[in-house]
Amino acid sequence: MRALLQAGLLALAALAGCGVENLVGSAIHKDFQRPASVIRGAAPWAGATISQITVTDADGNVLAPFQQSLENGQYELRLPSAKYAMLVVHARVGDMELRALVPSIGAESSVSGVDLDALNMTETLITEARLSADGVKLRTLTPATYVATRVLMRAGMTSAGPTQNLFLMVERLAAHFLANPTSGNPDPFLFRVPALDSTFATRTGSACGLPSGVACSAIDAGWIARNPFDYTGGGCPPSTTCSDSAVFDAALGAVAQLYRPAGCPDPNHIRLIFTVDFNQGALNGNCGVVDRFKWATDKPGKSMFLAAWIYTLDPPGASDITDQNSPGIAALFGNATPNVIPMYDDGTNGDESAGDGIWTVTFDVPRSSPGHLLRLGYKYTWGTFGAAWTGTEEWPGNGRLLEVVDVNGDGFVYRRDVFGDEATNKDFSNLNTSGTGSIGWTTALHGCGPEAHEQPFTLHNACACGSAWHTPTSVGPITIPCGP
Amino acid sequence: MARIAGGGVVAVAVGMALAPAARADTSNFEMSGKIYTKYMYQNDATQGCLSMSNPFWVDNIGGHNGACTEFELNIKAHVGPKVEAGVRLQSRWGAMWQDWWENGDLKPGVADTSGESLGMNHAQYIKLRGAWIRAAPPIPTVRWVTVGSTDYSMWNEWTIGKARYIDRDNGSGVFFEGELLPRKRLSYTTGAMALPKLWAGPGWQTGLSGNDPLARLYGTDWAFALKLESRVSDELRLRFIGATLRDWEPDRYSPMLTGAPDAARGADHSVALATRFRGYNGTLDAVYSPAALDFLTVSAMLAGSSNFVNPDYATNMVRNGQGFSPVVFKLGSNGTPVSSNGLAGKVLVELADPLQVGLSLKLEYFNIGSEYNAVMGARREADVLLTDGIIAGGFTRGGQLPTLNVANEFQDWDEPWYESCIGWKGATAVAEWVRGVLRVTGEFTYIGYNTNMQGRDVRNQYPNFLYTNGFTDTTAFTADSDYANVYDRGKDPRSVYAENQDRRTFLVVATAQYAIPGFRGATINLKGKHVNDRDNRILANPNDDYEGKSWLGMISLSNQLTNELRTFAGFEYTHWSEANREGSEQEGFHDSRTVRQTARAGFTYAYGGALFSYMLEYFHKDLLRQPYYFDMKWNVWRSKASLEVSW
Repeated sequence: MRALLQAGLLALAALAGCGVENLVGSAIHKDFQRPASVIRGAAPWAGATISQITVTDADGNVLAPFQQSLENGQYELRLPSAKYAMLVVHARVGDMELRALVPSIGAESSVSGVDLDALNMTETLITEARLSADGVKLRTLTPATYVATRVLMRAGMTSAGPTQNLFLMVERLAAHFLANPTSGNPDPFLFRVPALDSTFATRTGSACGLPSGVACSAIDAGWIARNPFDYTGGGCPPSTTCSDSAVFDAALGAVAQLYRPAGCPDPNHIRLIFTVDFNQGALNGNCGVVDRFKWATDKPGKSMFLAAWIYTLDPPGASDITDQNSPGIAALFGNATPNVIPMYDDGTNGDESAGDGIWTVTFDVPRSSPGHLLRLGYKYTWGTFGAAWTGTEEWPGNGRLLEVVDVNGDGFVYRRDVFGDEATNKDFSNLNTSGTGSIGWTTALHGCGPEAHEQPFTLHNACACGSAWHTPTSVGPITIPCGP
Repeated sequence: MARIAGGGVVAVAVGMALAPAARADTSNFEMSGKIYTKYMYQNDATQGCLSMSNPFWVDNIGGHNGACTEFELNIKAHVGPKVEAGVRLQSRWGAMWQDWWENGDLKPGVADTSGESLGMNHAQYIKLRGAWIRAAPPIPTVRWVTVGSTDYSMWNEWTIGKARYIDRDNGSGVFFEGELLPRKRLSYTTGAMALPKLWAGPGWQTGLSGNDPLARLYGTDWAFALKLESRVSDELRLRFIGATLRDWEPDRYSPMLTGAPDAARGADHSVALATRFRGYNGTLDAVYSPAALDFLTVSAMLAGSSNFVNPDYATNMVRNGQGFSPVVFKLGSNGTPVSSNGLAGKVLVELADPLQVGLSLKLEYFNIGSEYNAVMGARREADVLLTDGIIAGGFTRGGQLPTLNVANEFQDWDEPWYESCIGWKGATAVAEWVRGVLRVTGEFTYIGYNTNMQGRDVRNQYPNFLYTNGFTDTTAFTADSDYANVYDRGKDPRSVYAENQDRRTFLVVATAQYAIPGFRGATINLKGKHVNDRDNRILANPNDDYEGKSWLGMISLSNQLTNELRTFAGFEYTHWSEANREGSEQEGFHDSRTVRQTARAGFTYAYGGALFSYMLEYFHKDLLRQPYYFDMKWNVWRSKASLEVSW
């Protein structure tokens, strides 16, 4: 027995280095969960199933959770880990659709309390009505501004007044539908997305794809006509029931005027958007085809990142806004660390078109003013999370410049670059054939204004000035909460 | 001597005095060399010295016309009384004499006059094929420790099989062998072996991102095995072999791989491993030879296997590879992946002339579970069943192996073929009668199939290898641009599962060898074989039943004319009649008939350490399929010669 033990120990010792470590390590390892952005909330109706619940982005595109569940009236949707803004959770319950808004979720994080109830439904209707009246898209909302507006809406629902009256109507309608059998109609009869005009009157007919004269109401006109129902609690005089949506529509229009989910322009901050063209064949500042992999190497699994920093070199001139007078701004850009600030080419997070080779990242930064300029250095890296500069950066050493000034006054500073272009916006060792080898804050090489500013651009071409300014539609300018 | 500061000179001098003196003699060396030359001819338009080369990644060494030479040098060193080491150096196979000059540069898809286009396959470079060190340290119970190359022959076909000849020293590991109890009452062998990245796992690989987008890591993959042997008594021997295969991949959701290396995320600069494939195989076998009945030997073996594939890290080749997969992607009742488990057993009773009349008997019962699979078992050059099997012909030998990983590739047209015997259950009886210069054998085998099933899921779970029925013509098999036989689709030798199967097979084999009196070494060999293979496919459909009947007759004459020269000549006739061989349930099935005549002649000449052999073959084959499809015929001449010199 002793010999057996000795031999066993010896064999184990000798085999260490031949995968035995992995054998031991894996025996106690439980696979990591896939990183997720998780939405949780209540589905408080009887017989709720997860198949009733879906989630869409702000444009109405369905997002596919990689894992979802519903137990004891609580649902959980696990989306691929990323930053999301202004999502809508939908629940189709018979002839009714309930909705709840999710202002934002970060990567590897969760948001709870997205309950599919009358409270959230009322809030969503108010928001949809107001945005419709203002002609504003949901995707342009600033989440923080929306959250502040939400607090006001919730307060209105808990105290006597028009907002609470609207909430109570929604609550009665939802309860009525939950108590009635479904018709199997493909479109919901209740809580359709309302369409309002600029006077907050409910639109009709073709504005929402309905026959002429039919209101674009949250309540289906045919259904309420067939099923008169006292959703106000006091009838719709002179009748004790309501056979149309007029009272509800009027209440919604009135309440929508009380809140401004889109907020008002932020006088102190501006939305900064970096976009980089990573398409093969794009032209550099000398009108030559860019070699994307002159310095960076390509391999499966790589994606685009931005590395930026507060510019401190003088000349050409340091930034007035610094981490000292604007704490946290250096960290916002990752403190010049490569491959930690991801960019997106999937139609999310400000990216305008998925898979077009234009990668995007947005920041909310202090607005520059004369004598108080935010000046950045930056460059793009094609790498993997946490990778070093070598083999990922556009070029070694040197960087790009950006003076964060809203030249065209659209509420954005929008920068477009071509990856690996060493002949346009590169502070030193600039290869532009008409330049001097370096640029400053005012150097203009292409007749489009300083290279270090936002400029009109030409698609896939860094040597031609664009004919018009580009204002992004995938994201709005920064707003702050404000009154109606 | 270079001057070293301080006492360096003294130190070096002392060191040199103490170090063993370098010796110019070779008394502790054993060197052996071999030159092997092969010539091949066939009346076709291929060139090369290998009938069937790599079928999947088509290379540029396969073909039938050319002459090629390789050189092998073995060096074995007796480092000390308890330490040995050895290496094998060999030139790369593939350059033809006609190549003249190829420096190893490769122009993919190009063959030009530069002499720099065909790559290293045609450059005859010398490569380190194997290296090993063997030591006998003074450790209790340990007899030998081996580190380095080996052919894995210390295990068995049901667990980790001996590597096929072309792979014989591609495998490496660390091995311990010794005795726990004296007089072989209990001896052991244990080892850890690097898993071959090319074939031992789902998709015939263990983590090559170019083939499997779900995987990328193979350097962490190992096999571990333990063998315990006991000579319990002079009459009874027991042996246990257990093996496990571990194919790991980085856990793709390790925090270090999913985001910034931020400690708050749990990232700690370590990456955990997740299982891609995990296999267990074990055998327990016994051999009993009672002293009182010296003509009797009873052998029995029980085997078990368990193979788990994680579809998160292994692309399902059943679904995505047309049913070509060396593993089952088994799903549980709730759709989650589960292990594919199987048992196997066999009992062999051998009676060596019990009546003293020259008549010996062998009886074997075998029962191999429908999901027994030795993923790293022997792939060829072994045979686990007594029967002649279905695939063996007259000139062409064959064998049965309990794996979906059978490898009928990298071989010439005169070499044996192997078929998977997963799911086989039945019995074989072989009688042998020897009387003077005459030896006669007869075999009867019945095979039922544990794999018989209606509605088996061959779309997601069980690989069917696309071609599930029909005799396989190993004589005319091709690997021109596709692994399967492109001109005569018989059953893939690896195919054991079908969507609907109700199959049984019986076969009868008779052989005779007769040494002609008065003629020095002249022997007549006869073989006759009949196989009756029936598969009712869908039980409710009487019109789809496959029934194949094959008849084979072979006669050959070999003659040792001189001490150096041996000649042989022979003829083989094969007739297959197959009802509903080809087609589908949707389109219906069609009959075919195959008639093949094969003639071979050749000689071997051994003189002074050199061995020359030559073989010429002609076969004519008619594949008769009209009216549903055109007929085909083969008129093939081919030859193979080799000259081997060892010293």
